[in-house]
Amino acid sequence: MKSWLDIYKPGNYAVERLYRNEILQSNQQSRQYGLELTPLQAMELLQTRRRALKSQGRLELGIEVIKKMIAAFCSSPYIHPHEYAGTLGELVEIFYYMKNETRERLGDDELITVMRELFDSQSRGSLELLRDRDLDRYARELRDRQ
Amino acid sequence: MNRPSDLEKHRYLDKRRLDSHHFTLSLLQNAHRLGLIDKAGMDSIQSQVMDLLAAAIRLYTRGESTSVKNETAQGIMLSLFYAMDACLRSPGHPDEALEQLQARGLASIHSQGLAILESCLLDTRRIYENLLQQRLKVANLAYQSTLEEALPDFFNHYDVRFAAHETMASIDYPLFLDDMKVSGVFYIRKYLQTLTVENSFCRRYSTKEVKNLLTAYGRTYRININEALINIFEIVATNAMFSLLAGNPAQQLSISKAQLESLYQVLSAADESGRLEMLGAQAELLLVWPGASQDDYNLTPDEPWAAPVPVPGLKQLLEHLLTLIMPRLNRALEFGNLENVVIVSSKAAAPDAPRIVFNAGIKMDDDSFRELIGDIMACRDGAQKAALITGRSQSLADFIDILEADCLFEGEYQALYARLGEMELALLARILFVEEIRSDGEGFCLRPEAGQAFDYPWQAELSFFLQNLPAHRIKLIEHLIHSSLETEI
Repeated sequence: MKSWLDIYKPGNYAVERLYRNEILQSNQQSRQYGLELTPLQAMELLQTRRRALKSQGRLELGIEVIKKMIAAFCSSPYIHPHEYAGTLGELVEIFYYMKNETRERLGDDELITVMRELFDSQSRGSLELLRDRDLDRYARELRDRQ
Repeated sequence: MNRPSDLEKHRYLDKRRLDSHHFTLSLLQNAHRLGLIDKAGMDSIQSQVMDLLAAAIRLYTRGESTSVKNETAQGIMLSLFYAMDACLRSPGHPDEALEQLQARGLASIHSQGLAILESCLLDTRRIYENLLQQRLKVANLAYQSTLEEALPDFFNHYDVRFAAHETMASIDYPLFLDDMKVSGVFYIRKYLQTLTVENSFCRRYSTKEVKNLLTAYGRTYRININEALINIFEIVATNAMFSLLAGNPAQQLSISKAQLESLYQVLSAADESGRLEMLGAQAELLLVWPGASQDDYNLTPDEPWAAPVPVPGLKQLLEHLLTLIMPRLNRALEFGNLENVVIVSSKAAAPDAPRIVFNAGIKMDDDSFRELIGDIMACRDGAQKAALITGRSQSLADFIDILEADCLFEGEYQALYARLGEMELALLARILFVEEIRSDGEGFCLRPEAGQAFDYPWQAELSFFLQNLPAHRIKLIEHLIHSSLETEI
């Protein structure tokens, strides 16, 4: 692939700003739960997403997943305002990790729904339990079933 | 330095500098280098590429996922460009392609490219079905499994939208002249078309001839011909050339040991350029096969999208064959193992395979002879007369008697001599030039002598016929004359 068409290079500044603004718009929805991201946190979230995609060997055009994660998790009783940005970042990392672990058998919406359900129920808001126990078990059962 | 005018810029967008296998990228790079497209234009194109990729990923995941694995994304990206290449390669000149790219946008180009790929796939399937009906009846596993399994697999699994650039088929049978730079459906189409040309050539010969040759090839190289990865065309065309040079009928591939010895003598006596000339002349003869449709051997593209991926014609294949044969031939002559290049068949017709039997001493009885002369006289067509004579005369003596029976007229002699091989012509020439051979000995050659008088019309006609043969045939006949020919008149 020629360098100017490198689909993996970091997005240019204009695109990053566009993405940041889209994330900040989702504050309107999360604010009702007392959750809000600052512009800097939005940029950090984009950075986390980029790193997660890279480490999981995946490509995504657009930030639909981040927006869907915010929409799904902002109403969770286990997310506190001072941990909001960090929790979102970890959830994004877990999401791309699970896309590979479930061998892409779950669509984005389905995976986000499963994550939210487990996070609020069995994991009780623990990101470690969610990733290393509950989602891991779920993925194993899914793989065994098919 | 002044900026080049539009006209000058266009002149620089040279088609030869573009990579036809990555046409769109190469077109953009060259256009950018020449200043025909600026940074803003490039950014716009990059943005359109990303939009196309995002849309393709959505389609790929059926809208269920916005991300895919890197290798999947790379594959989809290559597939997008493969389709765009198919569209942009079609215009005659890169200027036009660039103009379309900028004016229409990538989505439209890609969409048209997909339509081209669909057409190409349909056409390729048609070529495959035709080829399947005309496949050679040989037991070579790679040949048959490629036609029966690998190619159907390709048609069943080829993915125009997401993996158009991939050639997902385990094709084992090697083409004589393969072009591995091409990929996807264009590769399969070119593969099938080239194989059609190869097949059409091999089908000139009977299945028995081809099978016998392959068996002899396997024996020579101590390989199981059914399991070996060989190219049948190469083996057939090589022996076809040497078989013609040895004076065999055009339909014969088998070469006897005695003919191998004669070929060795003739080829050894010539220098490298002489050998090339001799074999080149046989290749020319193979190109003008009577009754063969030239369309079978020169597949001219009938669609604009097919033109950029040309298919080698028979001429190109034979030229390539000559370049492969010549070094092998030179080495074989040097080391005295010509049988490694010229495959000798144990099932070759009679020794030296004369087209008519000259050596049997049995003369026709008088009644049969009179009957034959009557039949010949009743014929009005020279070709039929020639066929009667070559078919029914049993010895050289019969043949000479017929020639002297005044039953042939003018051009009919030429028709008869044209049916003879080098061996028979050498035998007749020995009789015709007996005095010259006796006096000149080894120095005898078939040069015309001014004012030479002959006793019979057949002699004058034969002399005329011999003088008008190509140089390599004359050389071969001269060699055969000098060899000790056992004639039993």
